Amino acid sequence: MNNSVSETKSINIFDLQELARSKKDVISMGLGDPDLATPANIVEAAKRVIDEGTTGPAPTRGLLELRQAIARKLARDNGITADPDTEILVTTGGQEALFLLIQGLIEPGDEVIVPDPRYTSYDAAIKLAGGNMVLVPTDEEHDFELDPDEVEARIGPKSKVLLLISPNNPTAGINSPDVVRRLAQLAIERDLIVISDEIYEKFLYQGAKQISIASLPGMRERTITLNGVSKSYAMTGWRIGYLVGPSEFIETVAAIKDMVNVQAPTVSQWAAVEALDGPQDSVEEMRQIYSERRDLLLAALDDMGFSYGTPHGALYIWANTASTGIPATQLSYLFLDKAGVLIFPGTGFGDTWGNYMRMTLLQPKEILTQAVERMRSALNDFRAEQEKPVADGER
Amino acid sequence: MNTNPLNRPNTVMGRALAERALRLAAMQKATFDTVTAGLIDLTQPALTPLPEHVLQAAKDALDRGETHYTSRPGVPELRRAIAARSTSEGFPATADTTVVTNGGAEAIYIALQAVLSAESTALVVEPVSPHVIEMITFIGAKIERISPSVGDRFVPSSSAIEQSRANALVISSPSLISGVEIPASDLERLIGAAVAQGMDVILDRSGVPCLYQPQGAPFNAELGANVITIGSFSAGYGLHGWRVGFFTAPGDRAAKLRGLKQAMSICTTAVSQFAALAALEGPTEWLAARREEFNARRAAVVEQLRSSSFSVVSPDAYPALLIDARSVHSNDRELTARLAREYGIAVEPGSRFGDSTQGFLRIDLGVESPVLRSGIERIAQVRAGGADE
Repeated sequence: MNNSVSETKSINIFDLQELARSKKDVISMGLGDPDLATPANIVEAAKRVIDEGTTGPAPTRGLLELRQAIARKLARDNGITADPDTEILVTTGGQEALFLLIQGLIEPGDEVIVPDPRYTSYDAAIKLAGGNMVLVPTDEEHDFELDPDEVEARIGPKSKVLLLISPNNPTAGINSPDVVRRLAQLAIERDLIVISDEIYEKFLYQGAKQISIASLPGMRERTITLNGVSKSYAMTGWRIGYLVGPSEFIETVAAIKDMVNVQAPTVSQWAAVEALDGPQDSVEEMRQIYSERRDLLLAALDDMGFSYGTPHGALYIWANTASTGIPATQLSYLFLDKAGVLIFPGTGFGDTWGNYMRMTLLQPKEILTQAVERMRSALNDFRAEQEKPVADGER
Repeated sequence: MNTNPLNRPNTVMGRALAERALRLAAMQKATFDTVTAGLIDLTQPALTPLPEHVLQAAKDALDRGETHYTSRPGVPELRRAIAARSTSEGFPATADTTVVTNGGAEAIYIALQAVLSAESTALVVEPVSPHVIEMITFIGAKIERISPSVGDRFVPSSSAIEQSRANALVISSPSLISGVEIPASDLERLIGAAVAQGMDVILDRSGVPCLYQPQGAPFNAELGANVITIGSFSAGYGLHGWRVGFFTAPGDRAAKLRGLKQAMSICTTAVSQFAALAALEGPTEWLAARREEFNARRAAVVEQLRSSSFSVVSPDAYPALLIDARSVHSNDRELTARLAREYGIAVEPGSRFGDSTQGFLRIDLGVESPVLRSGIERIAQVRAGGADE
């Protein structure tokens, strides 16, 4: 039978994951969950805490020891000075940090300027708070770097917050130091609050550099930095994130934290202390592993005729699938159904991104090689079917 | 920019804060906040060691590399175990309608967020945790309170529900505030009235593992199928800092609640879930011993109080104990302040939890026995010292 594109099933991310669970031998390049293990020193620290019995309640803002470790990290890595007593809030993962800060800032009708495509959990949080998103397109030609002129063109009387996610999920683009400086100037001139989501900061490739916007003059008072240990230390299951910002913001958002969740889990907090204060070699080792995987996948994409903006950071490749002629929602289904490879379509990161897919770097190289071979084969089979003459009686 | 009813800080960030967040922070400040430094603290439980099998399960999970995101609604084995227990108690659930949360508070917030909006009203049965009031206020819904009397052991009348036009009933049994369980027949009557009114029902059952006497016959399952139930591993199992709770939801509600959980925190801490699974499914002798320990403390404290002519609200579940202080002082907040100032002890005023418990003092029997004894001795001195009204 001659499959046509229109006969290929279209599918969303949730259904894709459900379907993947029902199939055997699926290679997942979908979720942003590092396959690498949490470094042993961190796991051992957690086990020591369990043995010592120091697993009881912790303050809503987080263990002081963890807030102090975060303050040291910020000074060391980001050039940000933060008072652990008043300017840091430990959260139950980066997702909760995102939820809390949006609920703490956004009133009905407020506008949040958001780079597009985007991590759509922000959509849900902004919608819940009654805010509106104003999307700023980014493009492949510029490696999905945010253009300050495009931001400025979208600032209006209701604009309150500028969201920066760098390195970006899903595009893997980063905002260069020059762009960050221009965005800072813009935020000051137009009186915007900046949310700087830096959860992927440790994973930069080929000498890419970025700076924390809160470290720039005049920005500390108007910036909330979001970060956590999930990605940098392969600790997604431990659920530790944090927010850094002016004391009045932290005090207010801590009230929301106290209400909805009381505190981040104590064992995980002690593990995070070890992550931030302990040896950092494992982070560089992970970065090198991801970098090699990235090179492998980019070569494969070149071979398959997919284009992309150069991924300068994060754990993803945002691949342009337009050359296949198949919408990404259908291509995702095809890859899962015929190749046993789970990849999320771009529409999971904004409705207009139907010609893109987000591929993760979160499988070993040999598995990625298999995945690429399967995808290539499935695509070739599909194209061959497309090119077959339609037999009489099948029309 | 917004009006400034709450003296928001005059800074860049202060001006940007959302009004409802500022109101929440102000509410929390206004709510009685026990200053416990330097006091004999009768409000915070001491940590009791967890059994070896729970700790080992946590360490084994770490050794297995259970350090990644779990299934979004929770580890399937844990969800199945929770659902099976809930079903056996008359609140039918499956692994698909059960979601593990980062503590019971998150479960309550998600449930409230799912059924309430700025246009709706919640009917709340006292005594109630201030956090629940904060949550409803933060969501923007209106609050109607039912204040059942202590004489009725906090069982409200059905008519209070039948006359309400609220969208949801929020009720706890056994209450972790009072320690009192609403008898099953009364609970069925109340929930039946709410369901008949078309209300969503959120029933906080976090106190069930804390019952001194195990529950009797299961709840009416046909009715129970309409209820969003909340549970926690904190008070009953002593897993306070591990942050594991859960909700079960009627099938037509489950997807929405699950989506909210994903939006709030993706999943619950992996190692904590495996500790909770061991607590729920492992040996139970430690739970019996835990119950006995609380029972012994309850008996000792009640005897000590009675000898000073204080009565208590007899609790069905630990760790709460409400002491009737109305004969000492008509205002429990003033009395609490006096106890802290003159007698060096920290207790909670009953009015913190609504009008139903005005005039009572709440203590936590999780406090170590010698501290409890010493604290109760000082409460007895207040009566000896006379009222100061």
